Amino acid sequence: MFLGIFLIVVLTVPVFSESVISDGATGSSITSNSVELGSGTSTTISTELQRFYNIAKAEVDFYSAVVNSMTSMVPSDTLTADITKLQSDLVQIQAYASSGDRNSTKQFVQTTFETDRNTMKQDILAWRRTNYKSLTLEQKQALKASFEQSRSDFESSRLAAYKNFAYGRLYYFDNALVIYQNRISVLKANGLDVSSLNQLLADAKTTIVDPLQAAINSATNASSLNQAIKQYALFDGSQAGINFHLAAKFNIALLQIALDKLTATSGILQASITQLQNDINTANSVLSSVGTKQYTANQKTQIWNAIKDGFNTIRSSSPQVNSAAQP
Amino acid sequence: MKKVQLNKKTTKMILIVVVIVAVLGIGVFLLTKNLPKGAGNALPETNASQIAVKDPQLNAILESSDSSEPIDAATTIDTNVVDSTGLS
Repeated sequence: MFLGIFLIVVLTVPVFSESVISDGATGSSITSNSVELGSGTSTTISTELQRFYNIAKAEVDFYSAVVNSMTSMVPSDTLTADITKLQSDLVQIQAYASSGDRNSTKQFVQTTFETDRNTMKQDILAWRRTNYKSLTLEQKQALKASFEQSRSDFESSRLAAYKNFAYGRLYYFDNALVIYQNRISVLKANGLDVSSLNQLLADAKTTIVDPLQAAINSATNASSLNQAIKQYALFDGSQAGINFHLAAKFNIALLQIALDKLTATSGILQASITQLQNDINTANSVLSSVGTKQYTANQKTQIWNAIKDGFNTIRSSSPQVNSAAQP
Repeated sequence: MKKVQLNKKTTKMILIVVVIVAVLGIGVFLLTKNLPKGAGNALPETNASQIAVKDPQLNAILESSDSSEPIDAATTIDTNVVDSTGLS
């Protein structure tokens, strides 16, 4: 027998979390942007909402092609109406995604789009039960070929959507590293030893950016690429992958640079130096226990409270530095 | 005209309430009288942040600091496409 022509692709309910797009890397326009990445090559990037719309569109296009093949052989007003409804839903998803409205997108997909898609799937199965046996051999072959082509197009579109989103992530990471590099330049211009900070950025690139780039380059299907995207976080955004915690490491390194300066400055109260050292030790110790996992709420509080306390100690030591600088 | 007589216990209670209200009123006055004009409901800054950092190196360090870990470009809208095959 022929392979089925009624393969049904189910877009499961998207899982949204509180983590939001905040990179500003790509804006909220549904039209993907073309940017220069670090490699010097121009590529298309997208945000997660853009990716979401792109995948929904690929799915609706797939259904439309399948239904068109079916109804060209045995017309069905029901299926035609179903597709019209799904295409209408897609316009609404596009509107929500373009405005960056995650909650409305989520709500609409979980209710209207899911319902309409399920209705169409049931109608496709009903059409099959009623009409498939009456098709000629040639019609069945044509239907199969049409389905396989649509399926291939769908997979290609889905992979492209994930690639564009992955490039968006890379673009965001590159921008973040540039921001930190600019800070390092200012610190260096002020005569500070920034070698530890430069090393940190180099490690971030090696640990997070380069592997993600490699995963994109070698990706052959959307699912594996999706997993790779989730695997790498420059800060604290990967639930099961590698979190670099760049900000915490950078700020602890800043505290260490300040401690070195204060230690080398005469007239600084030992209590201040001890306090700052304790803050650094606390932050380092907790961060070490976090490793590459995500922070727990308690760990995050402990680390960042220690960091903030360290900077407050630096502020309170400033008058002593000023006094020491007096002739 | 009927004269209302308060017993000792009631009088004592009233005095206690009056004293508590007075103490609270004075406390609120003392806490708010030093707020700068035009500050509205803004709370005064902490001592640490009010200290001017004149040393350029320390100032550069403070200006390079973060207050928390930024959010990664989100990866959390998770669209899993699952095949529930039809005919074979």
